Amino acid sequence: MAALRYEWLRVTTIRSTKIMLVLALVLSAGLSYLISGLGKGAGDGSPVSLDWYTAFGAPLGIAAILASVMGAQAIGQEYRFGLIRLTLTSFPRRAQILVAKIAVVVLAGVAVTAMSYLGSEIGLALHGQPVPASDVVAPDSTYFLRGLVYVVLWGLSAFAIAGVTRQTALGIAIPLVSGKIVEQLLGVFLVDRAPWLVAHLPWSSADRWLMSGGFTEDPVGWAAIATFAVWVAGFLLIQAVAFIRRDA
Amino acid sequence: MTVEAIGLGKNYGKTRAVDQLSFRLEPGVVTGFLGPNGSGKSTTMRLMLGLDRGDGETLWDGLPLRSHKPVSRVVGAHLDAKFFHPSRSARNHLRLLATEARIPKSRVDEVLTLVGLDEVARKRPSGFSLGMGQRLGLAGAILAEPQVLLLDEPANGLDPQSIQWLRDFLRSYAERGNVVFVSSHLLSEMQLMADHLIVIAAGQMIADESLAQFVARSSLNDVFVRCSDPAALASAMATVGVTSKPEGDDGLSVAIADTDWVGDAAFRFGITIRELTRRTASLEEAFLEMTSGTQQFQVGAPKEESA
Repeated sequence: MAALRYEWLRVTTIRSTKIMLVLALVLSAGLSYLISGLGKGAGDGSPVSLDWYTAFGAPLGIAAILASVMGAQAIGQEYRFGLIRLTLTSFPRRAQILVAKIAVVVLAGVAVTAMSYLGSEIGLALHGQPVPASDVVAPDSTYFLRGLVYVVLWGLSAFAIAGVTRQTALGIAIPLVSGKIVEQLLGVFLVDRAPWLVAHLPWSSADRWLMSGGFTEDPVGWAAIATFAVWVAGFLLIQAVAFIRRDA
Repeated sequence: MTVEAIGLGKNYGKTRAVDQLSFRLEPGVVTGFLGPNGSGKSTTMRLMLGLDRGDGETLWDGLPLRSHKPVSRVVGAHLDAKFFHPSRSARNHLRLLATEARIPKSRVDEVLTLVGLDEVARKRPSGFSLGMGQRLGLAGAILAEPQVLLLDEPANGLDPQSIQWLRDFLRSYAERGNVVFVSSHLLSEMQLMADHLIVIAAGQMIADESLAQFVARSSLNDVFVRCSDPAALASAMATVGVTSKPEGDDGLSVAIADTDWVGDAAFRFGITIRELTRRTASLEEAFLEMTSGTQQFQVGAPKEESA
């Protein structure tokens, strides 16, 4: 518990944590405001159908990036500023502090997701709700849970990569560049030649999970999130070994 | 509390940075840790704390550090003046370090006052000078009133008044029955502060003895004699195997520490003594002599300026 208290205080006493949460709120509100504006339609002023998933899902992409910043900072900044040596002097059992860090990164992901949803609601309220297409059902609580899993795992992936590389910037950049650029290109070029490979890429699997259909009756979505979860577990395992065995 | 380092060793690639270092730190004593740049002092301290992986082990009252709880009550370490987050206030930095041992906030404020940082307690330390960073690091080390203080170059960047304060503080901390282990390049300060020395060079033990014993081993300890016939006195010394060398017009440096013996010898040979002075090497002189040729990063000779 002391390690958890330590990590909690560590994350709550730096300015960037508050900035990330405010950004999650403001950017999600702004994005959902713009999206709901599109939903209102243009031209002749008639409403254009827009599903609820876009209104909530697009801000989640931003939330995932912000969670990855917090996740990468949780370990990368400790190395950058030398604090890891103070931390591990107080907590020589390294596994203990690693578990506490993972717990705080999960909590940070939950907080960012909550702020993102709140921001999305505010944006929608300010500009009026989007008009859903007739064949789209409104998101239920399971959709919000889906977004939560997406953001938390994304944050953990950044945490693990920053831990292995000891670089905050790489922890943020690798998931972002790989997920949004490299894997998208691989998907285009390899979809016919190696579809199995495309189906098992980490961050694009996470995106598939978020964009897939119903929560409970969706084997494709479940397979996608399972793929991403295995990747994240692998990253965390490598990080744990490195964290415990390397010099601080 | 005693601290026992047993067979500490560390390789960086093919370089043996620390080689089979074993020593014991006693309570009530300020132990100075000396060595040239790159000799392995900081690595040794990190090995002791379990921060670096290497050979050997360090026992704190017979147990590994991880077996103690809370660890902060056992050891307080200050390894670098810049080990803080630039956007976390000095007070919050110490509150963070206070977590493990559940130290109350009142102690945090007390320590900030003690090191003279109470006025900047709520400011972000990104603008702190090196000296202020040292004070903050020291505050973190003493926060839980640990039985062992382990300080790596704590006097760097401190002004003379602060250095004097640090010296007095560490001496009184040791006198309360605690272990104080401190490395420094300020040898004049170390001479005033330390009771015992551990000296390493190229990762190997050079000395583990009291400061007085270390200085006494220097060949620079001698007796200076001004007399009526230095040449005759030098011959007399040579007959009993004591070396000497001329110094000035009528002076002689005798490589022995006993003034009475030199005086008696001069008297026996009918030489009139005009001055007889025992000269003791400083810690700096003794250190430079014992570690000559072991420095990893040698400075070059200054260029002569053209006229």
